[in-house]
Amino acid sequence: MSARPLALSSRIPPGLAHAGLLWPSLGIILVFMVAPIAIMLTYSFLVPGAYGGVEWTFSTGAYEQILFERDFLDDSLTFTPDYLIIVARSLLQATVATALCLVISVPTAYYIATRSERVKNIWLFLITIPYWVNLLIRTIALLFVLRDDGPINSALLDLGVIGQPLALSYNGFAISLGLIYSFLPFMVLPLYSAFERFDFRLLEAAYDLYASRRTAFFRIVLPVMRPGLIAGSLLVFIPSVGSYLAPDILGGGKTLMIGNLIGTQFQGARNWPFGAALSMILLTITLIVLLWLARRAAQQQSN
Amino acid sequence: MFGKSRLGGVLAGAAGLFLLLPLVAVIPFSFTPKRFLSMPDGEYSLRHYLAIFDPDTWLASIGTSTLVALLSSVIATALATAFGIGIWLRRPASGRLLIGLVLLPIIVPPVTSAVALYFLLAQIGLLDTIPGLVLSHVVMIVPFSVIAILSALSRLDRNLELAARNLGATQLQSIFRVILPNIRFGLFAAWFVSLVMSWEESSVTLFVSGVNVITLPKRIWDNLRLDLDPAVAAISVIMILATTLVILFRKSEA
Repeated sequence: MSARPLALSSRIPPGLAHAGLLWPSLGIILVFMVAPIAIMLTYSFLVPGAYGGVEWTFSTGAYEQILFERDFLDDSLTFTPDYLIIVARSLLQATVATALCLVISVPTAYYIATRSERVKNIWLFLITIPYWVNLLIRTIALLFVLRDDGPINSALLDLGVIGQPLALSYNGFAISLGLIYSFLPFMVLPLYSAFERFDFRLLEAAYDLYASRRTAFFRIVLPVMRPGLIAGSLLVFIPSVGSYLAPDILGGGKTLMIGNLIGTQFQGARNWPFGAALSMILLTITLIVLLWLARRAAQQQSN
Repeated sequence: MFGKSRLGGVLAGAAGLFLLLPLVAVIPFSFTPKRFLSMPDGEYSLRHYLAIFDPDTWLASIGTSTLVALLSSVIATALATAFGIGIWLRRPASGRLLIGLVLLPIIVPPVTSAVALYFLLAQIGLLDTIPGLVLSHVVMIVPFSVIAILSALSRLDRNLELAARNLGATQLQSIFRVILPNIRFGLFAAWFVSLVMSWEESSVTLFVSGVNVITLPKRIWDNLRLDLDPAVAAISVIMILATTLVILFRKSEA
């Protein structure tokens, strides 16, 4: 059964009817997601206009700008690592956030999945609230907690542990915490549903056959959990790399990540090609991670 | 596996506390009697809750967000339902590819989507307009709607549709009389998820609107830029409460 859209539309109904059902959604994605990415790719090879916008002259300047600074006087290029550091920092922050979310989520999800029905439901309810509350609101809420007059600092001050408020907000630590806080539910929930489907009799069988806890974990639990682990990691890593809210609100605009650098190109700096080039790099990083994990998952399945 | 779950319990408790503490910690800030954001000491005031009812600022933005969320969730659900039924009926060999394409907005980093949509809307002159914003939201929420519809359809018995067709129903009749009534809860779920997603969409919204059209997240964001207005705390408390109530309501319905 050929299902290529072109073949569909050249047919008579019902093929045509089915195509008619599929095309509105595909169309809106093609026109408002694929086409704009193509525009973005084009813009990334153009020259910035004087007041925002672009000038239609081909240039790789936007990509060069990531690595080099062009001297105004003699037009020579000198290597400047500033932007590279921001890209590296974004990758590092996202990796740390993903790793810590994994460490927190595996035992948490396991614990929730092994409770009684009633207790399980209460836990799920508690985890679902932050899952659904607006990310902007949640990030601001975290800022309130970390503020100088927030509950953590006031409690520590009242107890006399510290003499003056700890600088918890507006730094790299706050961004890390913010990323973990933002995306932790996206890790807990897929892992929970993986544990929920896990047949614990397999584990008992392994123990009966004298498997150690370590062996049982790596040979029985991990392979079954892998799809959940991969899904959770993607759901944390992808939004973390390009995160815009957490670094801006919690980092106080000082510790930039690539998302903020992109944002700046459309607000203050008004360099559309540079913003487009950075967005393409972010998209490429995301796709590489996605394909790499998808391949690992596929290999796992075929084994 | 994790120390007979004692350690697991402690970790789960810590994770739960970590996730919920900030949502609770906002509450006292919202009751400050002062003009600026501060912890109230002994004195409490509702003035920042009253400020939300200012028809020129907060109330206007709540209205804008509601309008955009209603329009885009209905459009997204209609598109997703047609798409889901198309896939379900035809089961095309390229089904996975087509689904993957429709799920693209979930995979692309939000900032990249925001920049891409910014360029497109600037090209066609819809930047900072309600139609532009609705279109952006539809694109961003269609994947969530599609997931909900496909999961509802996967539970639908194919024989129902075959029986209808055997008894002489046209394709259109079988869709409207058999398939749609049978997935009505899935339809509601898809619409509801789209509504919430649109209401909460901030990454793309911050880029493609701002001067003429100010949604609630955008107003919160602008307020955060200028000074920490305690009204932000008040609106946060209301939104957190509303979300909690909606989850409770959905749980009691299920």
